[in-house]
Amino acid sequence: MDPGTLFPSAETSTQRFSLIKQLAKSTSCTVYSAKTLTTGDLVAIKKVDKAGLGVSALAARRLSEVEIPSQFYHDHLLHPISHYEDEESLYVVLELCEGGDLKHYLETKKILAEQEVCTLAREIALGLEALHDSLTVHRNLSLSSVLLTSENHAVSST
Amino acid sequence: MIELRTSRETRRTPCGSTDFCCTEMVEQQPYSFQADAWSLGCIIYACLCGSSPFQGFPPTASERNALRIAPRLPTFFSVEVRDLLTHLLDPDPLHRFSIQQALSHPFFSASRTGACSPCALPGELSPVPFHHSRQRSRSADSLSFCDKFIYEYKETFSPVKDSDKYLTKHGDVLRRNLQERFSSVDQRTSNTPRASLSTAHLPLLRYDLAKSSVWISADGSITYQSAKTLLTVSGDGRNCWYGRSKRREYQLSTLPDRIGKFYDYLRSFVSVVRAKTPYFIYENKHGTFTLMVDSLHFEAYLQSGERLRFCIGGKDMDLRRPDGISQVIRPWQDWKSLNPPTQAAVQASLKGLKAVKDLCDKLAS
Repeated sequence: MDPGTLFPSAETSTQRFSLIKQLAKSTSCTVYSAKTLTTGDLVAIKKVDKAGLGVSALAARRLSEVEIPSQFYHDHLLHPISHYEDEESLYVVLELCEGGDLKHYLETKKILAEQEVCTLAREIALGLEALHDSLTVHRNLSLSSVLLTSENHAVSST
Repeated sequence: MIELRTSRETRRTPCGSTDFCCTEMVEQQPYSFQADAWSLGCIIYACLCGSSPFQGFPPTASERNALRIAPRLPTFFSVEVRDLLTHLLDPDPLHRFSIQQALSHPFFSASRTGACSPCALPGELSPVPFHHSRQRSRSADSLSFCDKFIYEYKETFSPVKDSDKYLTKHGDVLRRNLQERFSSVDQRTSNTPRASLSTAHLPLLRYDLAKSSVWISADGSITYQSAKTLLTVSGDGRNCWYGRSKRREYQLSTLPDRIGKFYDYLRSFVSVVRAKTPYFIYENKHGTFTLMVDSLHFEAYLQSGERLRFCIGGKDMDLRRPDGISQVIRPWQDWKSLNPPTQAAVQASLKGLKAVKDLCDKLAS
């Protein structure tokens, strides 16, 4: 998709988003940064491909991408703002973490000092603690699933 | 993310990045909350070290019993973080720390100050007299080399105008010493004994090439594997096991040449890894300074944006300027022709080297 294209919005979705750029890509999903047309707020939109997913696999994906994370309001967990679907994809609207992911941050810094690691690891652990308290396992925690806010605070995403 | 119905429920579906997968997930055993604790341990390790601890090869169940010991952690990790990682990277999920236990660990305690509180350095690194260097292990003699170098730097280099004199007086001698030491390793004649390798202070590691693999295991042994060859060398480099089906043990001194060439290959592999693995990290207001495991390679990331990399005692420095352009400089030779920011960077990195040296001395005494 080219910058400036409008995201296809489902009829139920009240907001429309204009794409800014692609942030990350994996085999099944792509993450874009986008601007909300009505308010001008910046958000991240995760586009999950439905191709190849059966009915039950899609339901499981919807559960782990939207329904479970939506239950958590925590400083160090990424909360989906809204979501909508069309025939090809599931779109999850998320807060934009301007610092990018920890993997990219580590690639630019090579190694981090212990004091900084202590701060980040504590924030990740606090997020995990909240998940575990509600009997939820993250099970996909990695450098690329930890995002950094503009003030370098860690936020874990799914 | 997955929701469990009870706190005792377990899952089997493997998922997540392979680098951060715990033992039970890789083995397709039931896993639960402890899997996240393992991943947290991997993240902490990766942030401090720059690479993931197991590279997708966590310790297996068979290793588990023998391995009630800590994963191999680099010595520049502080005591607190080593203890925390020992508990988070426990292959047995029942013994592994929970997230709550991890959060109450001293590593996270608010009173902790200072960026780095390195654990006691092994005696190997205490300075030894320079003229004994030939008989000592490589890391010991190169630190004493570092010692001498800094001493001479202090004596002759501090007034900058004397830099030319410094080079003619000492630089060539230092360089020659360094070359001799390397050539003694590389050009072995049949009469001289084979130089040994040591994997001390190296993390777990696996390296795959097109036709062969090399890996360092949890007990410190290093293995070379190809279609026809399987050679395992103990961590101190003295004992070797060779052969695929019939394993035969050899001592280093009696190693036949046909196996010796693989041993030489492993040694050069280890020396490269030692030159790239951080051993000691020091931070001050000028930047971050890293001494590698071989105590010979040094790297400085400066606040001003420059990165300097050099071999202690060498003539050249590898400089990457803030704009990303790299060049090789010879500060002792062309000091006057360097621009002021480069001169400042060289001086800051040499001050960093001195501070690292002082800290090593302080910890060793």
